[in-house]
Amino acid sequence: MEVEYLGKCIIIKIENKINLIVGDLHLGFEQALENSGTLIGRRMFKEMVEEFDLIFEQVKKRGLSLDKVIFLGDIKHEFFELSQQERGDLTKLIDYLESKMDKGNYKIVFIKGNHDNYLLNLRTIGKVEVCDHLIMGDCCFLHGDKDFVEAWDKKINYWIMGHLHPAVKIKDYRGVRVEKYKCFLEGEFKGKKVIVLPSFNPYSEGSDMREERMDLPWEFEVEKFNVKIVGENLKVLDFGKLGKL
Amino acid sequence: MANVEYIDAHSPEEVRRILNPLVREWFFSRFKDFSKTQLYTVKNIYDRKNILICAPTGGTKTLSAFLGIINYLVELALKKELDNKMYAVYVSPLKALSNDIFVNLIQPLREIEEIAKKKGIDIQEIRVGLRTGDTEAKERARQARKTPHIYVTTPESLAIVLTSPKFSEKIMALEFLVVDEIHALTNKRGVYLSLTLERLCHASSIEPVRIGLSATIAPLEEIAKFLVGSKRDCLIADVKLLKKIEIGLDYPGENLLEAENQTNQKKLYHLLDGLIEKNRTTLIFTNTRAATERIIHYLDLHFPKKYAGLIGAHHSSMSKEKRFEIEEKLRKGELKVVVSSTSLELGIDIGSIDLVILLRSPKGVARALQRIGRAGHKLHTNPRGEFIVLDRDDLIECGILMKGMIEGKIESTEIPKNALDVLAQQIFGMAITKVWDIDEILGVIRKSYCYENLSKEDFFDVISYLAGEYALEHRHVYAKIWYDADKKQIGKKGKLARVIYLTNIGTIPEEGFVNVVIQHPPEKRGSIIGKIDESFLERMKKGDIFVLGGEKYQFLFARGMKIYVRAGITKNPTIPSWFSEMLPLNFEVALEIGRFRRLVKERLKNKKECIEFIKKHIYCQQHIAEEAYNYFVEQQGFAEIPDDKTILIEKYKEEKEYVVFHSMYGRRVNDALARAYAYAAASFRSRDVEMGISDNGFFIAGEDLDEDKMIKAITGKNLEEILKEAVEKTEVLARRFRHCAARSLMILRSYKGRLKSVGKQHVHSGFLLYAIKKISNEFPILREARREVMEDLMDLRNAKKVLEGIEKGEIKIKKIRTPFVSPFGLNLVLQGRSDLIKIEDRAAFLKRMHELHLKAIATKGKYKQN
Repeated sequence: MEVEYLGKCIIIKIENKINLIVGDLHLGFEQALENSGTLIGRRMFKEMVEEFDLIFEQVKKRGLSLDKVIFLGDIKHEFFELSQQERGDLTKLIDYLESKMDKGNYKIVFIKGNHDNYLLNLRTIGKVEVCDHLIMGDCCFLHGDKDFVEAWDKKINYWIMGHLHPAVKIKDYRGVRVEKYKCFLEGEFKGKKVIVLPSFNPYSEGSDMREERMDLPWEFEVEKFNVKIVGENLKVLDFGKLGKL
Repeated sequence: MANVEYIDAHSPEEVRRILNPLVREWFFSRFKDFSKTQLYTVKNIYDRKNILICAPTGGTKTLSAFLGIINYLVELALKKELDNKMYAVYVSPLKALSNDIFVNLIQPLREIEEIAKKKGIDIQEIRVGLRTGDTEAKERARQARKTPHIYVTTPESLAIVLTSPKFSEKIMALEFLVVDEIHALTNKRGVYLSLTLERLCHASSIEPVRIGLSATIAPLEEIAKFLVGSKRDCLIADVKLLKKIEIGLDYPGENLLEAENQTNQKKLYHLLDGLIEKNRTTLIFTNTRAATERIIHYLDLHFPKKYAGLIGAHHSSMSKEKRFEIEEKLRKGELKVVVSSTSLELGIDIGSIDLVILLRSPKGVARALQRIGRAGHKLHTNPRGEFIVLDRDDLIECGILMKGMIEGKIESTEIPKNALDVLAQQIFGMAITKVWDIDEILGVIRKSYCYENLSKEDFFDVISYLAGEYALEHRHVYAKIWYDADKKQIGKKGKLARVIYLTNIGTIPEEGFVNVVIQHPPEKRGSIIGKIDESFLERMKKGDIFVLGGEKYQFLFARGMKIYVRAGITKNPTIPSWFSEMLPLNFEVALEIGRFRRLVKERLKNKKECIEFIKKHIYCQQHIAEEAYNYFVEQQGFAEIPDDKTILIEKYKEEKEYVVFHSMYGRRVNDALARAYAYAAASFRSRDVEMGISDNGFFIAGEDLDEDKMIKAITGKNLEEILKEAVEKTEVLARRFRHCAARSLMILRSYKGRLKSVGKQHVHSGFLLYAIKKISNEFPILREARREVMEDLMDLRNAKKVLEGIEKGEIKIKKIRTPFVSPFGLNLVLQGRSDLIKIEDRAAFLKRMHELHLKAIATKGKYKQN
């Protein structure tokens, strides 16, 4: 298995098949905010598409032919409904992804996250493979909100997940300036290598795992995880162990 | 053209003559004679003239305003001509009104009815209705059936009832409009009220007489215009009562409040105890909530059991019931001492207080007068107050305040103009009641003094925002009103419009607060110890130690709207306390302090003469004057005393370079200057620069600061432009934008029947700003946030004046370079950073931090090899 970092996404090569992996999207976030009384406009989907354009451009540049595009859950935001904005944006997302295929060369996979209730109400969902988790070779793709036996299969070496929205606060030497950046977290848990992807949603800034309690069914020793910060132009910068930052 | 005119008192005979015999009989059965305030006002109100009444607390203001109205209504009631309509609306910013209204309105009316009954005179009942946020549905229904003739309410409740069609019928012919405590409304709440009043007058076919009641405030012309709006005349009754102010100043020693030194602390509390002992009831003002609690705690500690049951706290974060209980106990005389932050400053009658102690400076003469006015609330007793100062800067400041109080020199207040967030909320409210022609609605708005110069561009920008035009393709979601450009009309949109308006009315911002919860030690786990501002949390990192309520805590982790901490920390704080609740020192008072410093400096050589001068100038005792003299000598010995014509700049280096400006202009002016200079410094080297401000000066900290270049870069001419740039790069804009967004109903507290705590509807304020800037950088509510920061939070106008003074050479800048920070500079730096000018963009910052990280790894590698 080979991993390449590309902005907030990763490209994984498993048994000669190339897959693009994407973290939490939370489509419909703005309408959810509107419903709670905060009006901030609706630009998020447009911003996401701009970012996907850059990623697909890189994929093309490298002459890669994708086998699957896998979303690691929380594709939508509302727990209790499939909102109007979610319906619209999901349809647009699927159309967009199809427009990026040449000759229908890849499959779209939605792994269900804790927010993804009522996803099946979407009319065009048939174009997408929806599952609770996905196992390919020695990799298990999952959201991260719940544990399940298949993940513990001996042949699985990797857990690739989202859910946590990892980010990290970086401060200069006197703590004068503090900025938060989205990041990947990479570490080990009971013999499995874990990669946590940052959320793809540009409107969620993410949580620093040193300061916020992780909502996980496992006790990761997050201080020992490696931090890879998402920088400009799809570059990813290695900042070493989280505990030593 | 509008005319504002000061008037004299009428003779008692003139006033007596206009009173109906029944009212006259009642009045003289209760009072020996007219009060001075009544001589100024009763006849003018009877003659239907707009009037602003300014009199110190306890000057029988409320009854003075009502007497003329009562007289008129009694005459109607005798003729049986009272209609089922509202004759008078009385608005007060205070919620706890009932007691005051009972004494000044209901009781007189009842007594007059009694007299009539005894005489066998048949009289109609004159009804009074009270409507605040707490008024029960039953009472509201009663008011709907039988219209109160006099309607008593708050600014917010008035705005609510204005949208009701039934109410509008009842005020169709309103005759009197009374605004009480108008001095407490020189803020956005007042701006809001000014528009509400215009709406009220627009709805009424009669132009009601406006009566404003104010405590001491300046300039009165401004307040009068604020009361009546543009293009209406107003009389001003500046009632100077012959009450003599008894005020003193004492200084028990340096830094006693925070001192851990037992003997010093003892001194302060014994001093307090002595004063409390000598008086029946004492009220202590402390400025902050934390200090309030500390005083009570230590009084109890030093005098065990003595104050049990006799002491009470009163501050704004206490529950309504708790506060009411304390007020009630005060009225009954059951308490010996009450400690308050600022919440007892305003109006409500709290019984007889003998002495008011001002612990720490109240930052302005009007405020100081208001506070000591709480003592001797009865007409013929003098207000008595005592400043107790805890450090020597405070000593000089309070000395100057005392001078202002004795000489009657009140600093001037400003009222915000053209606030677009308030405007948005009001236009929305107006659209709910009917369809408006655009010129008609603009006409009504411009009648308010706060909007008389509102530009058409600003007005239409707000209309665009409300009509959802900024949201482009999603207009339908965002539109609160519709705007028809061809017909030039606006109206409400959506079934929920009224509900949204009624449940989100108001201008007082809700801060995003985070609860602080103990995690360690386990025996205290889960107990909530207080709240901190969300922006304070943003700056904290794991392991940081901070102070809350006088105790130290270590930050462990955050979850949702809670942060978890370790208690019982002995190490020093790693981040400074939060100063957002500090009152700013008024610019004019600051200049007076500067002038005093200069005058003392000129006399410093002759000790005896100088001390005499100080005594005379600030009306203080010998030992206070000596203390002040010694302080000045010390300061002069170190460098130079900064004054109104001298700014002293001190530069020193620690891990960074610090440039400390000793500029005695108050924190609002210093804030503007500090940000502009810091922005200049940051631009020179494209590096972030820290800054901190206080009333006495400000500091800038960064790498390689060139103060000469900085000073040259900022002028009176370019200040506004540079400040606008600087503000974009600071944390304060995001915070203020959130407030403005709430006022303009971009963020709703209550929506679709669900009340949201700030926590639940929490969106990071920086993110909110980011999202809005993407929509438009000139979004009207964003422009309002910028205006609020530069004009209300800071004092752009006077900062310009200072810079012009520097350019003309009237203000000299003196520089000293010190090997380490001076004691005066240290005070300033210790207060900590107020903001950070972020000039380096996020990506560049990340890149630089990554390079540093790589370097650190490389050196570590080498170290290992060796």
